[in-house]
Amino acid sequence: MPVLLEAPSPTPVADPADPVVDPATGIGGCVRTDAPAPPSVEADLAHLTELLADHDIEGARAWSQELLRRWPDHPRAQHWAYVLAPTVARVVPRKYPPRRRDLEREWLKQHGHEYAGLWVVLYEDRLLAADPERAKAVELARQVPCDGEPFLHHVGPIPKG
Amino acid sequence: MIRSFTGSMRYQTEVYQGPHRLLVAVEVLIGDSSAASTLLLDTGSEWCVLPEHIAGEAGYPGEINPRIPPLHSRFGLIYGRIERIPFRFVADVGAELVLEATCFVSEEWPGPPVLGWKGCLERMRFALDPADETFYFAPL
Repeated sequence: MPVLLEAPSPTPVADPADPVVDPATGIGGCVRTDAPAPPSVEADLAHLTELLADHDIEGARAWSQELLRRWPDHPRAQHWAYVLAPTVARVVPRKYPPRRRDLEREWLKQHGHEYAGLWVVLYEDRLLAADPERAKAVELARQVPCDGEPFLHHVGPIPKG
Repeated sequence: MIRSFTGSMRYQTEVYQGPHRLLVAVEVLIGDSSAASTLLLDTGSEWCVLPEHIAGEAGYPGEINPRIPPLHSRFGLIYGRIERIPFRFVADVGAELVLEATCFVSEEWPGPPVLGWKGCLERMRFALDPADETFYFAPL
């Protein structure tokens, strides 16, 4: 990545046009150099942020791998390489026999209005738990025996009229 | 052309989640959560988006990372963080599908959980059949 480095020079080059340089001593001011910038993890991470801000996700993915190559021990480089790496979908065995959610949906049609604004946890036509807080509803449902995966749903407001 | 699928589920249409209307919604088990959640299926969303309380409950608590560019959304600019979280697509028929989705997580997100494109839908084969409201899925 080409970077223009701005830094005080150990042997300043006086430039009369540069108001920062003391014309009496020729000391001070900044010089530009074409020398490559020293490696900087912060600069590399900033570049990744720019790519994300530009919605260049493929560029960010490629850069995150380069980041990891350059800074293999840096936690943020590791984090970005991990979270941006393309995922692989895989088929997994079922935990429970296949089952449609028709009973839960029917229950919501019949009883949903009684639980407006609440999170409800259902299994088949049974209400396992209901609570305004999602986490609380899930926790309450954990305590109820259940032969399959429960269904979590937030009941919307009752339509007016 | 015939493509096979490994699993399918009924999707829901025009379902409400709090004040939000989810035009097309599917069920996903997120992280360590013990109950399936309903997510808005949105192929136009760059990332999957999760409210903080859902990510936390799924075993991925955290805080806003100010270095992350904000998400541009209909709710305005949203600040958050990016996580990789396992999603399991619950099948009514066939086998289930698991992938680790790249998610934008934010406590500022006021909307429903969103199933987005990058790091999720782009990496699986899927189809919708409105005739019987079925969401078909398979690995690539």
